[in-house]
Amino acid sequence: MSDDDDFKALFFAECAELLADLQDHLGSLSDGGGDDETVNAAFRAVHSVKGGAAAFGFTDLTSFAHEFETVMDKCRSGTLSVTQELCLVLMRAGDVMELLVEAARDGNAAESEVINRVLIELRDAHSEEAIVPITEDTSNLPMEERTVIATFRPRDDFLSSGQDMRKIILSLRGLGPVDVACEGAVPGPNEQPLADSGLSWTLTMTTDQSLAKVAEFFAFYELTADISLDDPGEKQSVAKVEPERVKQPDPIAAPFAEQSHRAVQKSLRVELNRIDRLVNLVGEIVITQAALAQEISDIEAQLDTEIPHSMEEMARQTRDLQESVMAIRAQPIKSVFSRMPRIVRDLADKLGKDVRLSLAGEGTEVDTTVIEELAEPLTHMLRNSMDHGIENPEQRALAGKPSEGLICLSAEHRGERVLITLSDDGQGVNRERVLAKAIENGLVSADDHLQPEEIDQLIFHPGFSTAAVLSDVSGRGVGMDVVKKKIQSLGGRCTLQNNPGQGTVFLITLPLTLAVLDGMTVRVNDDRYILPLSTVIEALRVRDCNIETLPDGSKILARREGYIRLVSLRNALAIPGDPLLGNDDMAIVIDTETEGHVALLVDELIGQRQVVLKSIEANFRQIDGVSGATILGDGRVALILDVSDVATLERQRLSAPLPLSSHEHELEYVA
Amino acid sequence: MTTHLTSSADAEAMTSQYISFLVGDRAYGVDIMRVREIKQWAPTTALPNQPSFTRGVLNLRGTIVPVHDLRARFGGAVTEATETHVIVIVRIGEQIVGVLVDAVSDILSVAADEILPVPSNHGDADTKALSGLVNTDTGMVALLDLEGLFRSETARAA
Repeated sequence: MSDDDDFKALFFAECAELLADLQDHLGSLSDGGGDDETVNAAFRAVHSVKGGAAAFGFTDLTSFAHEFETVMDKCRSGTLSVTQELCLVLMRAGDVMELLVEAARDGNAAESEVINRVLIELRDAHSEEAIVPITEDTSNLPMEERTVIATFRPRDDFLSSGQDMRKIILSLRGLGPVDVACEGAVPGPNEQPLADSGLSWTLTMTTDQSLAKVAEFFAFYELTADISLDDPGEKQSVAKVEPERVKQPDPIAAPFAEQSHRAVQKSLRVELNRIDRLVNLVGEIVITQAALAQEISDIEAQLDTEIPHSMEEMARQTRDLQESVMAIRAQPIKSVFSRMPRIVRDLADKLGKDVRLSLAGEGTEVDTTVIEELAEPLTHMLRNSMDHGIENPEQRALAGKPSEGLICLSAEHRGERVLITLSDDGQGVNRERVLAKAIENGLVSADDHLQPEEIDQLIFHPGFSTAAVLSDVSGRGVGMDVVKKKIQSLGGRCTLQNNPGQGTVFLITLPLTLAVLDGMTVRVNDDRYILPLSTVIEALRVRDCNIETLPDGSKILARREGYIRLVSLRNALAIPGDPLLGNDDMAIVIDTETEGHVALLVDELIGQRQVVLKSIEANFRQIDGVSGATILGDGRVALILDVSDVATLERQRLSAPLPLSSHEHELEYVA
Repeated sequence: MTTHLTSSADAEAMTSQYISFLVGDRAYGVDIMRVREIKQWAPTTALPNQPSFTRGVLNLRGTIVPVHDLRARFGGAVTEATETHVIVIVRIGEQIVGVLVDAVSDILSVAADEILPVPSNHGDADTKALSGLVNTDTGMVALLDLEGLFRSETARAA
């Protein structure tokens, strides 16, 4: 039973990959790129899903895939020409396949309305075949009559899956006369398994059908038997019938085959937690290596000798090792980008808007975890652009824009980070409306005289949504603030460029990995804390700053462009010690995303370093103000701070009564 | 003769081993199967806004492990830890947790029927922290219910 579940899980994982590939192929066909091989590849994807679905008895999926496959087959044979309209239908059909796969996985029934609509489109598409002149059908065209020899070796589950050799032979005779020779004998019920019995049939048939037709016949039994075909007419000996082996050798396409068909590289499926263990171990080695290097340089200084280059060599190797291990976790951002076209198509339908999504840089590699976490905020931003950004066709016509809206989603590497750009050519952020809403919600006052850019930033404010009517699309109570918070929790930043009337550009920068983080080490008392470097703007010496105290006792720091809040890390984290300002204290200006810029007061700035992230939650629980921990060169633990949380904590602490004394805490637990 | 052998084998099967340790003059015990290792005290990194008995976190060969002070957990003062103090690293569910005690004293073999229930008539909620009592030659050993003691700390995850 659990084996069955394993197989199912594998099937669903494969379906996801196959269907993503399918959309890819259809996308390139629709853009006018792609060749016969692309059509073939798309066909194979549908066919493979169908085969698996049939084996597991997902009838809805199988029958839809069959319909889909019929159309694809006609494209493949050239009976049906691949137009842009047809591609659109096929892409929708791909979406439905995804729906059906999800339904099969979750054991739900899929929305039949959409499925039926697409089914009709598909049927319409291949009934048009009559209009399209029948072009040369190379793959299914009858060939000269010749002898094809098939060797058929049943596997263990051949009988248990209800196959009957007699029936197979009978139906094979539909393709031409068949001679049957059988080797071995069917074992008795308690004897060795079928596969070990050496049982096989040699089917020698005389047929005028193409090998593709014959292979198609046998493809149905592939799961329960090993089949090999030998067709002297095709001069092609095939070890096992797989649809991809059936392709027609095409002398013209051959030179391009390598380009158009991704080079098949060997790959291995590995459980993520095995890799995580490896990443952890390498993280340890990096720390140990740093500690060792430190100790050795101390010894060198004491003994006044020089230890040969091995230490440097080891440092380099350790770094390489870490990079290689991180590369295992990296995968192309495509796996999240490829979900987006479907969302756009769905929404375009719902909103009655005409939108094209253009993707770029899908090959950009990012850490698996970042990719997983990225899907949600990206989806939300896309919905947002579709709903608020892109106007409906009438408005676009009035504005003199093409009726089809354009959203571009791209990714590229920028040094140690990845830059994701989401731009649309819609109406941009309506500053008057945003400001009115913000004033209405009491976020700002009318006399604040905000700069246009400051108004734009208001959309990231918690709970802010300008949609006049809460639609099904965006405005589910999830605002852009959640998006920003999420991006920030990934160590990233999210900014907005607004060109009213012209469109909006969202820029997201993310670290390539969540396993290591560039941090700024600071000290309070004897403890060191790490601030994510992505949040740090500048560091100031307190004695060089102009600090004022407000009537409520809170302190503010003067900067070129105005005053910002001064947050004492000691206060925020309730670290014992005198919170008064010392002369050597440092103020680190950080961007907290949710609380704007604040200056964080610490005892000392130690410096910049890359740290390996460790979880506190694994053995304890989530702690406010702390996003994780790391191990320093001396083996001590340092906390990695969540700067937005820290700023919020300090504000709450200022307005709240004194924190509980330790005595009161005990009462709480003992009584 | 045969019957005697069988009954002694039965008793053998029901016997568990406990590690006993001291906090002040009180002895506590933990099932040896729950103990991962025993470690000399090393300074911990304090965590913000935690009850006083949570002493912070420790690097246990690359994993971050919280350390709780057993004396403070039972309402005593926070232990002034020195190099002679030890941290007993135990497993609680999926998590690894350190418990700061004064010293480890013994390994006890205790038969199931030697474990006495904890009287709970005085309504002290913290009796949940103990799973049983054992009388030994040197006095009573209270067996800790680790889940009960530190569940509030571990399971309250966000």
